[in-house]
Amino acid sequence: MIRLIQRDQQLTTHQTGCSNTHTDFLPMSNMDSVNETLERSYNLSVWLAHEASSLLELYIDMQGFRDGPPRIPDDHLQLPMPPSPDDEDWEPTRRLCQHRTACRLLATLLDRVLGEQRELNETRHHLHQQLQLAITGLQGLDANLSHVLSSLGSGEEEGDGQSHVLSGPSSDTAHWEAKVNGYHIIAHYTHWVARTVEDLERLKDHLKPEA
Amino acid sequence: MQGYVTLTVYLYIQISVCIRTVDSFIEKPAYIIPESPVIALGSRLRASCILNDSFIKENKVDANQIFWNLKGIRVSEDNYHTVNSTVSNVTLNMSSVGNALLTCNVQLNEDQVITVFGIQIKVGLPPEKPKNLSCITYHRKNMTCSWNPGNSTYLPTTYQFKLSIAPDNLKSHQLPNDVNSSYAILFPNIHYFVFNTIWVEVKNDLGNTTSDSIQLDPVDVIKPDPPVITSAQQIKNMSTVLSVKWEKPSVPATYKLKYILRYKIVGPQNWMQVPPEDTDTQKESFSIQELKPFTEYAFTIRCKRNDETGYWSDWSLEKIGKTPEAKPFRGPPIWRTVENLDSSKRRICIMWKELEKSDANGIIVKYKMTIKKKSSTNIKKIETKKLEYNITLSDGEYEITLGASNSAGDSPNEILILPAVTESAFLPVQNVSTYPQAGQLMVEWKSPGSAVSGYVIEWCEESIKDSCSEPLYWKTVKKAASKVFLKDNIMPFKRYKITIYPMYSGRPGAPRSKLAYLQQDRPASGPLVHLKHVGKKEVKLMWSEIPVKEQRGFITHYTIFYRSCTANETSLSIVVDAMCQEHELTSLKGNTLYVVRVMASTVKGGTNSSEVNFTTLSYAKGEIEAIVVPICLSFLLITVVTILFCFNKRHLIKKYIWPNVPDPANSRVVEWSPSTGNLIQNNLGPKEPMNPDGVISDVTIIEADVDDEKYLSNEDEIKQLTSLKKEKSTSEEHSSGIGGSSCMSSPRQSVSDSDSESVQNTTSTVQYSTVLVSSPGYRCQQPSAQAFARSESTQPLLENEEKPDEHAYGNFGTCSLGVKRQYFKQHTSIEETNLNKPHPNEAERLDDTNEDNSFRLNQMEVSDQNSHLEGFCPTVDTFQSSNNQTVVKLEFLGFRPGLETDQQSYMPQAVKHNSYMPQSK
Repeated sequence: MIRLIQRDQQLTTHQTGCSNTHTDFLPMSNMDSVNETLERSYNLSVWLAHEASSLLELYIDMQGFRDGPPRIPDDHLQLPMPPSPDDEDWEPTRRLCQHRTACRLLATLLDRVLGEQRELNETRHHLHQQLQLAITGLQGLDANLSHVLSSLGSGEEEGDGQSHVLSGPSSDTAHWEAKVNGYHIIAHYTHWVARTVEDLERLKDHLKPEA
Repeated sequence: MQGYVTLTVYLYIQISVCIRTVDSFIEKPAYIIPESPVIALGSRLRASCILNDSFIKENKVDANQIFWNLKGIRVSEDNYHTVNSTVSNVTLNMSSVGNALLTCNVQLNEDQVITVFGIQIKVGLPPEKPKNLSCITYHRKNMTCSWNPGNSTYLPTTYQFKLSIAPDNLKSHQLPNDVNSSYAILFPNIHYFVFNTIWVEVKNDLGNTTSDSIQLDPVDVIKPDPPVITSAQQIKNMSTVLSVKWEKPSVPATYKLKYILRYKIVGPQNWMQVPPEDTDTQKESFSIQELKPFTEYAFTIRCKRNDETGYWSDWSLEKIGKTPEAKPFRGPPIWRTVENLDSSKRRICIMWKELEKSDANGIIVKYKMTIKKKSSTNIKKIETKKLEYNITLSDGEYEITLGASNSAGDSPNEILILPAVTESAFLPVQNVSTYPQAGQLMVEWKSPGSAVSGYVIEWCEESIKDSCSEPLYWKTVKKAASKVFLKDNIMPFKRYKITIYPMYSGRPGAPRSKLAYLQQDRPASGPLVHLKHVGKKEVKLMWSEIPVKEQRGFITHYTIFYRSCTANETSLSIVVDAMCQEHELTSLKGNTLYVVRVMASTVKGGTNSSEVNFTTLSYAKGEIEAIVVPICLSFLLITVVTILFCFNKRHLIKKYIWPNVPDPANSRVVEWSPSTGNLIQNNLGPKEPMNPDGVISDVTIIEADVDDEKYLSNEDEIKQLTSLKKEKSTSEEHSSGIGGSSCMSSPRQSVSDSDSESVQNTTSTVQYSTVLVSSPGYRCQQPSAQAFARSESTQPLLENEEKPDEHAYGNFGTCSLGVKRQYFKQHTSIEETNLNKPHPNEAERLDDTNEDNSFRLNQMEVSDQNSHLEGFCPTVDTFQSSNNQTVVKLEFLGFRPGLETDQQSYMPQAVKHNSYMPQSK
């Protein structure tokens, strides 16, 4: 589907924010747009989840972790933990905001891993391509979630994820540590994107208009 | 090292100082505003040329002396004007795109012009708004967006490809300088499942513009790679089914595909398509049914997103699958040739063709044949792998069945009936026609009736007329057909005999044949031309028929070209029907060389024979005969008439030819001699003229050659003769007589013509004449005057007289040996014949009543006289006539004159000077 729109109009339709939800009062056309975006976001997350598992296998293979990845305390990277899928306090907007924040953070981390891998494994273009695919996908998911959140009337939360990124490993991390950190970032990303698939599927059902 | 640095610094300082000094010296004499203008096509350019004060002072010029050049051409003065002493303004309409050089020039004096400044003007167009922006995604490759950039701007123009997925995520991509209509975002930078807002911005010195933006999800414009068919497998015990499996292309997860599967028999067949609804599921295999057994099929597949977004992929590579075998669909086509050995036996060659693949349904391993005679229970069974079977059968009717077998089973049998020899064949087909069509030979016919169950078409090359050469080709045709295309075993330029047999439930009907060519050409060689007959004005040509192999088409006609070999003679032609092989050319010129050739023509052209030359006859057949025969007949008739005439007039002729020569012995001269002078006087006195009529003179010339003087009688006579010859040779007046006439132009010379040698020759010519002149004057002559003279008459000698051989007088005795004689007599009158009375002394021997005898007698007389001349030498005397008298010369050789002279008409012929010696018998 190709939409022909006016550029100025397009730029003004995107709003950010995770503060409020007005799903009950959204007009029908807007709901269609939200549902369509959610559908695309879900498809995207499914594809990213499929590619993420490949990426993790490829990364492990490329880094020489034949005996399995080394264990490093999770708090070393201060990565955001995905919410529990069975959390009783499951609220769509908040979950979307959490995922969006994680998307941004993970995209930043993966970009740093990609930079490191371009230095460490210059000729591993397929790995680079898979990392870039994850980054691009996360950026798209972020854009979609942003669109959905803005459509739902949710404002952007303050300080989401950026602090974690900034507190990440420094640039002078040793190569080994970079490889290990990359593994944990990719693994974390894989975990997150799988959780995103589940949440978006649940959200689709939640927002699906009743027959 | 430090020295090098110091030197380098020093050089740098020096060069910098020099450059600044040069700059200060090179001061611009003027400048133009604007300095680098970019003008839109069709707009006006206003420029000012400002002269430098120092230049004005130095050259003592002002702005009035400024003029402008655009592209080297002086600008009209109407387009510029002087503002003040230092400034000149120009206004130009820019009507062509591209770069143009505008210069400001100063006329220093009449001869000196200086260009003080110049600028480069760029004329172009503002960018057009890009249109028709669209994108297509090649998964895992790129997303290519393209647009229509519009007309060229003729100016440096930049294109920016813009893409945004969110307000805070805008990416701009500058296109390379040589690209203005498309841009590709490479995977994995493509944002799938996200709406991408895309637009294009264009900018140059004359303006900028932006295309309409489009919003699309790259997933929605994917053109997937084609699927890959992994297998096309048989299913056990199902000879008409194949199972096709494939792998879907790489597409994003959740991207659902639908497929279109198509298949065909391997070869130039049309594709058949599986209904799309059967393959729009996510299954990646499909079983295709109702295929032909033992047949190779090609499969190919393509895919598209099942929600109709995006594009169809290309067709996949073909995958070949083959169905298993089944029983042969039918028996092989069967035919036969029959060769009658004798009245009761036939040699039959039963032949059949391999089944078509579509009918064989597998590999034929053997053929089963049965041969059964009608009304017989004995069946002969044959199993063979060959395609023919030879057998000798009797003249009865036989039924032949044939079936084919493969690994799946046996086919139904084909039946061929071999009718009995005595059985009459069923009706043949009608209206057989053939003509080539699209490289094939189409044979068309009309069915003889509804009872026909099929047809057999038989054809063979006819290399010799009415003779078919091996091999024999044949094919079966279905009942409903009324035409068939022969393509195999048919070569162009060869003649084929095509025979059609209607089949009546396996029983062949009567054949019907037709000759045909797939393609015709001009004959390979021309006919061989012979001349059958050549006449004066006609010639009959005959040519052989060109061998069938070299005809290369049906001979439609022959053209005969012929021309005579005379200069500027155009060639004529005659067209002759193809059935003719000879032709007669008529109206030719006689005795003329002609060149003829015959061109044999087909519908494609003709080929000439070699040229044949012939010359027409000068005379037509019978023409010579028509000329000669009448002439001969005429001659013969004239001869006969002449003979008859002569016979009738033999008396006259006799008198002319053989006049009666009087016997000198009986002459009165004898009496006139001195001793008988009285007598002569009495007999020849004036009262009795010698020729009373005075009309006819009798002239006789006797020519005789004397071989030797031995014939002369005595020495005196020899001397006398010698003196006479000398006298003749020296006497000019004597040379122009009879002897000098045209009649004497024969090799025999007269005496007068003879030179001294001839005179001295032993053979001499003597003309002898006896002339009786009837002139009155002659009467007045006295007989005593001896009238011996050489004849001066120009009367030609008679032919028989010119040919002494024909008138050889036989043996003249010893004196006649080697002597030629000429005998000449003319002007003999009838009355003269009376004078030719035989001498009384001769009466006993001569019969004056018989002319012939008389003739012979005359000869005899001559002969007798000649016999008496032996040893006699002639004497010659010249007797000059008076005015009214004929001059007569008499010459004697060997015999005496007046030998035949009648007594009454005799004139003394030769007399020795005063010593004539009359011969007595």
